[in-house]
Amino acid sequence: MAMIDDEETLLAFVEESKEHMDGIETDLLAIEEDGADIDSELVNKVFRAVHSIKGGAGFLGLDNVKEVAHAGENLLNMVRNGEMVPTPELITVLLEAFDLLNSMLNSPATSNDVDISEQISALKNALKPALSQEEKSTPTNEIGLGTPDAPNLFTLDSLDVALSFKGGNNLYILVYDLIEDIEKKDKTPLEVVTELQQTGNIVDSKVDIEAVGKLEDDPGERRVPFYVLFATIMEGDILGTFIGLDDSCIHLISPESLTQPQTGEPIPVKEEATPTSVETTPPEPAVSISAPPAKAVAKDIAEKKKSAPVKSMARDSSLRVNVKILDNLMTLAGELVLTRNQLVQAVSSQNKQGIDTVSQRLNMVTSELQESIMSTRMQPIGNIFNKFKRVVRDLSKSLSKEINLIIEGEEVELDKTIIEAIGDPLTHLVRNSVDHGIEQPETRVVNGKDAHGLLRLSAYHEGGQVIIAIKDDGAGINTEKLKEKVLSQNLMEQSQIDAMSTKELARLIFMPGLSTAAEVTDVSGRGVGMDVVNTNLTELGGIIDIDTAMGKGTTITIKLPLTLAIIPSQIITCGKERFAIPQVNLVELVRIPAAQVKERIEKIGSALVMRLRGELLPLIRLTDALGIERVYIDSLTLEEKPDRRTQIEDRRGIHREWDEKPIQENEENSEPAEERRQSSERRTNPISAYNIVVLSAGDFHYGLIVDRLLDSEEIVVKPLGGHLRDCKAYAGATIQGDGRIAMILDVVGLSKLMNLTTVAEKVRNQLQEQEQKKKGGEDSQTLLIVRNAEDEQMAIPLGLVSRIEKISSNDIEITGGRKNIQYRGGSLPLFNVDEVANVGMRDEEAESCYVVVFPIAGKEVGIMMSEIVDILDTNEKVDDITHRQPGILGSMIIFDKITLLVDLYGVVTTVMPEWAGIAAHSSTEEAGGANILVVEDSKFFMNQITDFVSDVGYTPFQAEDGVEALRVLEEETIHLVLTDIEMPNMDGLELTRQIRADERWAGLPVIAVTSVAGEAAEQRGQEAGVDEYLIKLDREQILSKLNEYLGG
Amino acid sequence: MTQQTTSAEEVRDLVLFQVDDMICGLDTSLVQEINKQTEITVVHRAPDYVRGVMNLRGEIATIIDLRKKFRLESLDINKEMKVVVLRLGSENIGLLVDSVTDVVMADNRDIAPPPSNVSGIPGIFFEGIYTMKEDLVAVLNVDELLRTGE
Amino acid sequence: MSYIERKDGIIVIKPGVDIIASQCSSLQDELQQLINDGEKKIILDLQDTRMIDSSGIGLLIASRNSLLDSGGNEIELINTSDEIRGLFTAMRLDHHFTITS
Repeated sequence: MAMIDDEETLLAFVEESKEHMDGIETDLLAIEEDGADIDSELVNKVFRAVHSIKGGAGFLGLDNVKEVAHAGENLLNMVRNGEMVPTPELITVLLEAFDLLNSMLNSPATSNDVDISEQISALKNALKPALSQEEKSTPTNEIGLGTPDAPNLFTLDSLDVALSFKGGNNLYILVYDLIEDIEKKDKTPLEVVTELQQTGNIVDSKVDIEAVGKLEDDPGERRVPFYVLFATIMEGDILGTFIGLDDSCIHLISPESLTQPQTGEPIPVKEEATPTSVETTPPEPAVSISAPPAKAVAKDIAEKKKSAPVKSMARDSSLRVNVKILDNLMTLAGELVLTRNQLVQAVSSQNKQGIDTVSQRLNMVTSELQESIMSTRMQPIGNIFNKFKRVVRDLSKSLSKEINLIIEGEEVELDKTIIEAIGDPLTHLVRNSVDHGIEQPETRVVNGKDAHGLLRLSAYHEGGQVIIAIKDDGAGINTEKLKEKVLSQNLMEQSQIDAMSTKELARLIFMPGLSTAAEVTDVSGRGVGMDVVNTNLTELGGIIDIDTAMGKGTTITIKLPLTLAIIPSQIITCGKERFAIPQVNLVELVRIPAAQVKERIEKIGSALVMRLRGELLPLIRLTDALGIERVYIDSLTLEEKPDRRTQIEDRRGIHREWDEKPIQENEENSEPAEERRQSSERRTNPISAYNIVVLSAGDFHYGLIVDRLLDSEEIVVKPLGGHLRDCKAYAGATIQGDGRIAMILDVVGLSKLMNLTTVAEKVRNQLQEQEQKKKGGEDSQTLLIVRNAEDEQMAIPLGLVSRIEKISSNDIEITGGRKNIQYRGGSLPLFNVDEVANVGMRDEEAESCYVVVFPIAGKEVGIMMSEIVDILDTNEKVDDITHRQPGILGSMIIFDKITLLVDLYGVVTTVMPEWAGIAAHSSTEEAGGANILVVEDSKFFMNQITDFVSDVGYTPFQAEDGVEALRVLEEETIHLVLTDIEMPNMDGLELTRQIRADERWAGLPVIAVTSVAGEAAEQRGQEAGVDEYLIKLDREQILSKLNEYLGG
Repeated sequence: MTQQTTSAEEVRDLVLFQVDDMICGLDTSLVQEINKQTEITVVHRAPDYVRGVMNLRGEIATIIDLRKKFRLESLDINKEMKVVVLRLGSENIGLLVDSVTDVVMADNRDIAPPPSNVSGIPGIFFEGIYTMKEDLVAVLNVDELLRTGE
Repeated sequence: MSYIERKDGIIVIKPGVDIIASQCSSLQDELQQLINDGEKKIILDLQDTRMIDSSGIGLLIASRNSLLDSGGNEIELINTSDEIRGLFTAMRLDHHFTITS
């Protein structure tokens, strides 16, 4: 017997049946747990579900479905009556039968061809123990229904009758005569039947075969009585008109008038309070709607899974939606209409104010509408989680393991398409836990664990994402085995493996081509599948993380976006192109001003790293990751030209070729970009600020160097086509307001593209090394911190400074091309550091400025600064290589900024070389090559002092500390000792004492050069026997003292 | 790609376009639309025959440079070029061609199976060669052409 | 005129047209004849029969009644269209005719 070809009815039936089936599995498992302590409510519920499936299947000619349902129903009836106990065996039989039912419901067209014999016999066999006496296969309560003329036309189970009243239906018996009522009215039986099916439910029907008569009878007199037991919400009077049947032929069956065929007594029909739909629906009543075909994204993901089963028609094409949401949508639609009307009016009357108001309202309504629609797609994750109960049960049974499954967070909601797409990956992970994670009970007990393994599935919200965790207390991932496997299959090099942390090793499990089970078990199939899991999840925009400890267990954490379609993001540019970075991966935005670039960006191996609050962060240039040609704008022609610089961190200061494209720091400036570029031609600006986006890629962070940061926006994620699916760098694309396309960057993908995971580890190691190196401190110096150009900080050793004055710019005079000011009865020559050094320009327009006054060549001069910041003692290390240039001794980090150490002497003598000569008191000849021992542990200062000592013709000898100094003294003839005080091994004071204590050197001039000023220090020095106590870097003074002691 | 094979259909409409010195043809039933090449956004790290993507009424269409696909030298965008938009499953794919020349009704009997290569391009990209009065038209095999995972 | 032949000992009658009021009388005669000839089982081949209307149904039922009355077994319907099949099922006529596709 084949089926009614009525698509709609069939679809509706399948829909409903699947809903029944959804809950049945969970319920059966619960019944199993209850065991002998039968929860009759629950059993009844399952019974009713199966019963209604049986009924519907019967009507639609789905014979196999009906049979299996019927057999199952019998079994359940036994349990319901207390005649059978729901043993695990019984439940298993039922579960398997219903699995079959499910698959038949998935393709109803072929269901009748399926071989159900096995399940049927299993079900019947399960009945045997109980069926000792009768072969009762039908429930007992039967009711006869008929018309006054024909009282027992139909005999129905009381339950069926009750069912047909559900949903507010009325029950009628329709009496047709095919000829009179149908043919004579120019209708066909098919039409009539179809019409009935559309307006209600044909519970049963019957043709009075006898009454038709025989062939011999007069055909003209032939009658074909046809009775229909019909359930519909229509009221009697309308019904008649509707179906074109005379009222006299419509008999209403009221619940009270029902009789039992046996006893003839009216029986009470319970109004079924609870509908037979299953309890997994949300608490408020829900309505099924058909949604348009699933979004392209979901389809693409589904198509990609090669092993994906054929999707049933019901799954993808409809949704259960909370009525409240629908109400909200209605309201919003209404709002939209109103707003539209207002807009039309405002536009036609050219009312700008009105248009503005409307546009605001439109904005709001649209957002709300969109949100509301999106929320219809949200489904609770419990839908999937509950399926795992069965999976775990069956799997653990077949593996003889005992596992407790705990499920948390079933109410957490996710977009429907995501829920559908994570089903498979989650199943795989859960099976893995059961199969490879949790050990056999014996093994567990031996290891001091509970015989029952614990598997916890939880879902919760965090930081705008949904987190799903699968946690087992099993054996953990055997990283040693993993390593071996990876090496033996030549998937990685030993050196690469050695560099990996435990976390990274655990992630090896995601490598394609790997299987770590001792044998590939049939049960969970493959360890190979893990890479597919990873891929699937990444495609969804999710991240997977593994935490494992051998012997203790494994926790797998999956982070997923709430919805696929719309995400907040940060828009950035790279050249002319725009890209979007999902906010969820964004940690922070960092801007490194030009001056700090050299300091904060370093190289480790071939990788760029950046210093961020003490941490080293691996960096990648977006242009490198994507293979985009870097461009800059030529300052003269304003054309775009390829940027051929390769290593920012190596650059010295003196390139005159070009200017960088203006970046935000220029925009903040009030000067228009043009002028700024032009003004910079007078000085060169080799490096511009860097904009870095700090991103989170699973378990580590990295920085992405981009050109500009634009707004953050909520964007609609559009999937990329098949040809671009493999591009690791992108997670999709979006169309911006101006119609232009911005590619959405895949943060994890980019990091993989650039091989960052191992770099991140290396960086961590390097950082530790560096920290340790740094522990060897530097001498403390007292520095005057000043500001020259607006963003540039400088430092001047305070010891060299005579005085600091504040002057008004108006008082500055220009004489002979040189700035000066009337000062203390004479004129004070004024200098700018930027006259000499490649640094930012001081703002000359300022009303006032500060002058740092210091002596040189027997006079006083002043160096102008825009601001005095601070005075501090620091033992920061001086970097005397990177920023070294005339006028600048080096740099250090002070107050988190690159600070240039000013060479006061150098500034002046560069501008006025003739003064250099004057400053040096002794000429080369006079110096006669006296030997000076310079004792200094800081290379920087050593170089400084040695330099100017040899500049004037002395011969310097070097010693790192007191101990070495003594050695040199032994070996060489030294005429004067210039010594630092703070040194390791033996400090300057001790050295001095030793020198003084030695007869040979008693008269040797010892000059202490120190950065620490102060009386106490001087006092100690004197006591030790120091002749002079000078400030380092006070070239003038040092040389004059040298001269004093040695020369002349 | 469904073709009616009943004997009633002996002709099909082909849209003709130029790719380098070849005239190519496509069954018009496969063609969704023909666009001027509006802004094509470059996609870095994409397969080389992907010229980029385009905004097609709110959807992202992958644009395939036919020249590149045929391993010919590709050209800078000019006004003559057009994008022939096809539908593949749930997405739109555009073929970037030198120019679109004509739409003709071709008699199936004039379409012969393709040789193993056509002007150096693997024959697998073609369904057949259509002989017109003065020219030969290489009728494209869309399934092969749009196959991903090269 | 229906196409009638014997296959494996059973008579098969194929009207080849819709079984509707206007066509009924000739089919009626043919069926009557077969029953009179003493056939015990009749196979009604409904290939090319797209519709059966009320009269048609009446005719079929009457035929069945007559057949059974004269000692016959059943009327079997074969090559039934989906619609006819569906109709017969909804009317529970599949309890009285064997319907095979």
